[in-house]
Amino acid sequence: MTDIAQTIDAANKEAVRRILSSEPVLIGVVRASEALPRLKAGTILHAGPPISWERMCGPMRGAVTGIAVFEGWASDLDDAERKAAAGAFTFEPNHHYDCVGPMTGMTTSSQMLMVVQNKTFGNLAYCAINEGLGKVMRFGGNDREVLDRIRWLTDVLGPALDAAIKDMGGIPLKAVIARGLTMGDEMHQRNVACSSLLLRQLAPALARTAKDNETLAKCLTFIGANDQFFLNVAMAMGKAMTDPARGIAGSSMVTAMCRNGTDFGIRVSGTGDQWFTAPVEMPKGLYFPGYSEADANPDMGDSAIVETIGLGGFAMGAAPAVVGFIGAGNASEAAVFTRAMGEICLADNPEWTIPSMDYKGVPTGIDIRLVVETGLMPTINTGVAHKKPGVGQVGAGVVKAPRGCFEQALVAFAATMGVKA
Amino acid sequence: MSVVVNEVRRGFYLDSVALMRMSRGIVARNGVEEAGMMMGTPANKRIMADAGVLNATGEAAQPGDLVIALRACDQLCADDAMAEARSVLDKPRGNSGATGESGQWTPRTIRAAHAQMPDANLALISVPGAFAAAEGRKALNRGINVLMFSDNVPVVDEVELKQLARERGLLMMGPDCGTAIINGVPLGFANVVPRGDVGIVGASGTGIQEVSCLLAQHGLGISHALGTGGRDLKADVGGITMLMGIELLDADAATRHIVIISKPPADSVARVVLERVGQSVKPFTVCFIGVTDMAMPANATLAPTLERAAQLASGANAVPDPRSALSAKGKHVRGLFAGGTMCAEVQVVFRDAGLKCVSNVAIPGVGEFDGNWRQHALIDLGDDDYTAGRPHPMIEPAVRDEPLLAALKDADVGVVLIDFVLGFGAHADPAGHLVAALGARGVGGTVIVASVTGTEADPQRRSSQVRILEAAGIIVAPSNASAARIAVQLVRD
Amino acid sequence: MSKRDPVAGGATNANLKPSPAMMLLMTPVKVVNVGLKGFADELSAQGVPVQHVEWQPPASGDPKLAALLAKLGI
Repeated sequence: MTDIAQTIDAANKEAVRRILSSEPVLIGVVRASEALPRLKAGTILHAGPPISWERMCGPMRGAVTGIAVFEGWASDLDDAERKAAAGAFTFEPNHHYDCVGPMTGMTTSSQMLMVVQNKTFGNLAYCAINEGLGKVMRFGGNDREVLDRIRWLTDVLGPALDAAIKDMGGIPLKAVIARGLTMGDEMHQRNVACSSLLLRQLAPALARTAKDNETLAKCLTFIGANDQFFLNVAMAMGKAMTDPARGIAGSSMVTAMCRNGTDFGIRVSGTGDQWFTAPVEMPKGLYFPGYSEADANPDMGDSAIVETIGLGGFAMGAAPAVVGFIGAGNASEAAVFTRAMGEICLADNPEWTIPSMDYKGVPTGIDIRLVVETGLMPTINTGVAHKKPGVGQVGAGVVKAPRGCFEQALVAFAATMGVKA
Repeated sequence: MSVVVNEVRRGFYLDSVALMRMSRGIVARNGVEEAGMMMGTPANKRIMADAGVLNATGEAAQPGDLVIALRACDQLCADDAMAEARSVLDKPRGNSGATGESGQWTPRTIRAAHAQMPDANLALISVPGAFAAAEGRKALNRGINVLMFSDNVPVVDEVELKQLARERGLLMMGPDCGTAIINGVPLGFANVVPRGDVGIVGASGTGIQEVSCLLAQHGLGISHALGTGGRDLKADVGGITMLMGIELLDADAATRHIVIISKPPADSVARVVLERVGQSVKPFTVCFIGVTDMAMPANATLAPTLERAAQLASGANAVPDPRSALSAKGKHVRGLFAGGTMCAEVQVVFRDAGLKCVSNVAIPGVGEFDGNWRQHALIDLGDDDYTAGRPHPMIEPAVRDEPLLAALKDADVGVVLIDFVLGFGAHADPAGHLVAALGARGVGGTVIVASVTGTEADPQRRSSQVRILEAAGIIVAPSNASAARIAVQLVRD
Repeated sequence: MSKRDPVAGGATNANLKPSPAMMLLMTPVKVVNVGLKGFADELSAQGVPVQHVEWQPPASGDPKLAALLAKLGI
């Protein structure tokens, strides 16, 4: 092996070690303005790499106008749109604030955010509470019903969850994931097992700490009715686990993948906080009755952070039920996806295993070199938003990360190693 | 007015055998004059340009791109053929994407395959030459021995790979290594021969095949047959693999006698190889094809032909050649060979019989073929000039049809000499193909003399192939050298 | 002089261990096949363990990226 290869090898080992040695714990729910002093009024954090209002897709714009009204920065949606176009709001990626958010990923100062601490490294990561299915802001929904629900999350569920989680002394998440994998979740498109496992743990503490029975019943009902409740927990966890691996000189490991509905962006450990972007692709999958690919918005959300730690499309082998979303996919092909992703990853996670694949660990730590070499693009399991703002989710499927980000990242990474293209 | 249509698929690879099979299907379509589906290497693009099927689109392709190039009588036929080409290419082949048809994942890289089979000890590499060295390096860096079937690998890469292998104690067979038999396992183009105590290190694949099959006829078996690739004994490579092969077989308890096969090596290389031979206590047979006088160490005997090498290694006596009742009408011999070393061996026989001949792969003492067919012409159809862009005649015997029929029509040709090479990798029924190609006209007034390199255990079964040829009136000799002597006899009579 | 010559006196266990090339001749052949699928099929049919690689040109055939990868240890 050459010196460069050895340096990269050692740096990647360290990057993978940081992910695998992470101890993520859900420690509470906190108001964004308290947790993130840098996050000012008028600043709207969004999913994906940086983007201007002009380049935002329909659902993203819908969510921006909705959240501006929610925050009281605009009198109504039209006003919000005018202000956005006039440059009244500052747009920044969630990733620049230790945050992640699904689909449109709106994060603003008065929202309540779930906090995951990586006990090994001490760092924190945040994600808003999942709104449930149907018409929701993450899919660009912005009407009264949507805003009222966010208000309830902020005023009622958030504080109640915080009290319960603190009462429990935090909820270690690694074990939840490990069990969820054995129960058919891959933590992106399917979170039914982990949501149930989490609720099972939370329920007694919620009962102890809730203001009254009615509140308790509403909280339990909301979580219990939302199969995707755990997704946002898993995302904050993913962010908490990958952040310590950022900025390791010589590491070609991906530390973040995210999409804003227009661009797909990745960060690579050895190139620090630089984004490498390329146009997002269209998800392939199944549509709810009455909708088709013609209605679909391109790929969106910070949720691909779960693929970055070996879940989602990378853990497809654990979730044969999800393969049904890929059209003709047979359940037996679930393992093929996981094996394919194994070709572009640096390690298997020995703690997160897939029983039906002889307890193979989920493939972890995407190496941009292997992605470019094999042409196998990371497979991301995702929901599909309607391209018009406010309509909501119209389907689910898989999408591939675009090749361009990885090729650019490789050239930039090579430059950090003193290697010219 | 003919229409040329090209399409390029970026980064799309299919192995050349699969592509040639597909192109044949396209050419057979209505209105298609010529078609090729090839990786966009400079050599391939030249072939397609020569065939008049390449346009600017195809010309722009990179070596890793697939070019679909065709010429048809009109736009309609061209479009139809292109649509057919696309559909053949898009047909699922194993798991080409993440959604595998088989429900099973086939690794994409040596790294992943090695993870799947951690105790793999040999990488068999047959990717296009431009990519082969990189794959070889990957295998060697993982501690895996390499048999590189690919040719057209730059000689600098060959040297680097072989040096890397030597440093790591690994065996690097090839590039351009067609044949090996290791632990009884035939690799690449090889025959099913009994296991025994004769070891072979050969720079020529068909040479190894002929010697191992003749040994089998004499009742002897092979311990291991190691290929070095055709350039190993040239000065710039220095015989790295040959020396290592000798080393291995010398140390191998199962090997009693060692046969070395090569074209005449560079003097400097011959010196080190023979020096190493002299350090062994085992007996050696050295076949530097055509070399009749060279000082040998005490434990080595020189064999000018493959046939003689097999006799020396087995201790068998030369058998008299079968006599033919036929007589040649034309004056000249036309040799049309699938195996390059077979062609060389026949030249040795002609030269040493004092019969002037020419060849496109002339050995010392034989003239270069200059396009004049009015002489004894011995042609290697497996040479690059003939195979560029086409299958090797050992895989696709149809390559020989056209020159063979031309020879049979030529009244000047009295004897046609041909070789058949059986075994793994080779065509399933080359004799049957030949007889079908002759059709109703049969051999006509020409004498055809053939050799069949193979064994009874080969998939094609030698005796079955011999029977097909003999039934068609073709003389089958017991060896390639014997076929050459019969031909010499016939034109001399 | 008490120090052993690392080369001449080095006939220790490490030196006695057969090279991987020698091991190839002493153990059953297990093949990774890269390229022509037919070779893998023929070996399989003979009962030889073989792992076929569904090879594609590295970096989708982009020679510049492939060269870069090679410099980066791929």
